[in-house]
Amino acid sequence: MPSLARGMLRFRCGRAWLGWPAAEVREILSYHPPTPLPRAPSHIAGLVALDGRVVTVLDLVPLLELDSDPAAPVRLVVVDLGGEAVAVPAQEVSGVQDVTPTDGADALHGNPVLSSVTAQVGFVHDTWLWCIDTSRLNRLARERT
Amino acid sequence: MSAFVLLRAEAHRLALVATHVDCFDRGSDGQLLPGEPEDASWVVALHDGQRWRTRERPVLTELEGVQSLPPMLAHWGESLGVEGCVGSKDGLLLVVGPGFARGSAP
Repeated sequence: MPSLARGMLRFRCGRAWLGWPAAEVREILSYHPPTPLPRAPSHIAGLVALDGRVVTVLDLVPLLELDSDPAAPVRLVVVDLGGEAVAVPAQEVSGVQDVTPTDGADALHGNPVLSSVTAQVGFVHDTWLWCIDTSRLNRLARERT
Repeated sequence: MSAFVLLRAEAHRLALVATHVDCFDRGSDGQLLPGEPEDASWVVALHDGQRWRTRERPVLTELEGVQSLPPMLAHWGESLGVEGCVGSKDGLLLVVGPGFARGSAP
């Protein structure tokens, strides 16, 4: 039985709410469009300059095959992914909270990609929350880039 | 400061390291950069014999602060001939080398 996931930042990518360890979140910024890159995979939205550093913008909607949302992202969640700062576009950012694991087998059914990077599933504010295993997500993102 | 020739390809702004460039002029006999129209009429001649064709007049300029690509993009950059990026008044530009035209071909 998975244990309580402590200190998870909740944010929404497409229509999915994800939980990310808050300790691995560097900053949350207003969204600004990245510089697109030619011939890049669909989950690489481009590059942004943050305080003089150039950072990859990683779109989790195509990477994790999430249902998309026509609403534009409003935030860039800058996370630490394998020691590298990476910016993730988000439609919505909520608070940080502990997440009690729930039997989420039904929720994960049909999305093996999301399932492969999910540490555990919670049910928060009447919706599923997929708590991300950032090591597995890091491997997936690099394998597909 | 380093010298670059600024180009456009498929709506992307590129900064070609100027030491690779022999000259640029009007012409119609070069290899079209990705996404550029058939009637593109500017040709950049590289020292290695390549001739890149684009729609907008290339601009020679000096820029500073070239950065490497983030590690996640190292493989992508290597396969396309993108060596890094640099800030400009128009935002981030991709710094490319002579391998770009081959690497980015559809």
